[in-house]
Amino acid sequence: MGLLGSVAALSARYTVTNVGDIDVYEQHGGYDGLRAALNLEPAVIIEQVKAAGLRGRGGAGFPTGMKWSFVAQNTGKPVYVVCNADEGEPGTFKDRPLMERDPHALVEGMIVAGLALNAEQGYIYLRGEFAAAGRALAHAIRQAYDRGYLGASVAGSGRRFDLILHRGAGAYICGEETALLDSLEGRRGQPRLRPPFPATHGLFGCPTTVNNVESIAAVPLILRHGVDWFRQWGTEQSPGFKLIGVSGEVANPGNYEVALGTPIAEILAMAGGMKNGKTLKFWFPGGSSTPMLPAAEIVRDYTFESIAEAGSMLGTGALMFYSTDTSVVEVVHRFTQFYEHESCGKCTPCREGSFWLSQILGRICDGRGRPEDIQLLADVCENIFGRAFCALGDGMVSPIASSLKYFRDEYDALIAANPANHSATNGTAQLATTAVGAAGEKA
Amino acid sequence: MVFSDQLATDAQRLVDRYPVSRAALLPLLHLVQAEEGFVSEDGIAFCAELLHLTKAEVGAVATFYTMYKREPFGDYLISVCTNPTCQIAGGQAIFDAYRTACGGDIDRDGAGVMVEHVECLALCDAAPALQVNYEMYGPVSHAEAMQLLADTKAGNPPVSPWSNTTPQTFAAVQRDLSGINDGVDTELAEAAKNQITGYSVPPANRSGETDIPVTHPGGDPAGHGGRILRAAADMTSTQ
Repeated sequence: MGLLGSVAALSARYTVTNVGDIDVYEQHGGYDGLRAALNLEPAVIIEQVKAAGLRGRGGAGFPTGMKWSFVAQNTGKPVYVVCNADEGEPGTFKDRPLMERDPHALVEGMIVAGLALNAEQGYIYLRGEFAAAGRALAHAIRQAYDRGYLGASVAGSGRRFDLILHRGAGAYICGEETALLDSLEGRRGQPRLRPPFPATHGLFGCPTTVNNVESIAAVPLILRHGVDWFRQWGTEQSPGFKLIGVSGEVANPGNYEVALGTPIAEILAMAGGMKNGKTLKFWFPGGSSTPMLPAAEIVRDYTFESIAEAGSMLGTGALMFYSTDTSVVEVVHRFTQFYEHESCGKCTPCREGSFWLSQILGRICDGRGRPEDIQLLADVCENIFGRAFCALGDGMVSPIASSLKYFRDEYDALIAANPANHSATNGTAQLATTAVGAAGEKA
Repeated sequence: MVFSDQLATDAQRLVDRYPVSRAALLPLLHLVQAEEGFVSEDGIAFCAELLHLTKAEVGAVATFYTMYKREPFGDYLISVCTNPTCQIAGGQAIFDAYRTACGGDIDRDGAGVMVEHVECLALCDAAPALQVNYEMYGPVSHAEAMQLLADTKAGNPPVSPWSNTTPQTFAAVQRDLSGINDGVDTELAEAAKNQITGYSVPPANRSGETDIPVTHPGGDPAGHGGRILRAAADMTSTQ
């Protein structure tokens, strides 16, 4: 186990005044990672990222170096590096601050990624709603061109790398990498069938890698300081540091950077604990798409493996803590409405399932819940999980299935409070009417 | 509506940044939205003609994304986050009060505002959070939120404490979102052309999952590929 607790690596320059200006950025070590990369063969850069054990920071935790090694080379086609800056998972706010406060860090990371992958063109797909981040990045890109870090000869090396900032137009699904590629090609943002994977047939049918903002920004640091430096934090399976956003009913919600492996209780303490003396009831380790955990699981460490053991996922670094004052079912209903709104409509389980789950949860919250609703929720979830076209469907099921596992009593209490249920005859008859009841809800 | 020559020039600048012309569609829709304050049928037709697409193809894209508005409303869009953390902190109550105050989603009095509920704005540490024309505000009390609405209706939205910026009008911010103000046009156009000419297999103009890859430069008549092909065939027309 390496060092734990608070870290200032990716966030080291957050407090530097005007670091969005290239001169200030360079005074604070900026573009040193790029200079290090220019002295290395592409394969060596990838080997270093692999050796560092950097795992993707966008949610899935797939090793970044391995992802890069899958990108097809020498096919006669251009290779593309795409940055997924479409941060939109509920509770997540780690990439936006990085881009606003230290935009050159992402620009530098993109150039390094381009060198590693023999790519000449990069795209930053930025969530459209992030106007301030867009201004900061556009300014950084212009300055990087003026200084010769971007363009036909990166820092005089004779190797080309160009970078476009491309703003989206409002769609959570475009954070899914193949939907992002379709959106970038000027289409509706809907996921693609895989295989073929983006590593061989991505943007415009060419070999492509899609990486999260934080993953890309971490690479220049690894090249500049070395693999051992990166591995001084965290665990064998979860090395390094991680930007996180702590929110919900905590005293000091905000952006923090921690070593992986830091105890969850310590992270909660960093955020000042629960606010106004409230008591923790449940929490999400990484956004609404990761199964919620009860207060007792606070004993876990912030690593991929420890959270997986608890039955959840590290996700997008969005830790949300909720108190005993808050209704689990209400929160789950709200998240389900989110997925209903953001389902792209491509596949039936997700498009229809999100609508019905939202309807059922809505009536339970309104005090119109029926005894058979819990079984119905479980059935619908089962028919979405693993059967949807992309991970949005699984994400939608996560809060519902996990809340049924840990907080079934809250559902029962809400349903029992519906006076209409007290005239019910027997459970068998009620279950038999399930399908009819659900269909009737639409009117 | 007859669009200005300036729009045609700007639109071409955006198209030239991409190796395949259709990739410019999202930026172009932001650009036409800047002209009229919403994406009209004329705006859709403009994009379709420029990119050699059908109006149905462009309309399908324009209606998919929430940032393209389908009716005019005025100068300011107010977006209130109603996801759980903001909801608990009062975001839902603010949104409901806004709709009451505006008599619906749109209030054309004064500067003209549209209110909408939005999904997570990535400002969860400042719940409840909202945006005016994509500048961030939060945390806002209910009273502050109502004052913000009144000021915005009067055409004087406050400075965002997060970006230290006063929101531009909706039309102006759409120009920014199109990327037209990002600069480096020459470099990006050169880069896009290089992707066609510098490789033995250029980027495909269509790469849906069923037809990978269709890769000949003439397949993209509105883009660099088509232009290069026509030049090679000694055709001087750019149409």
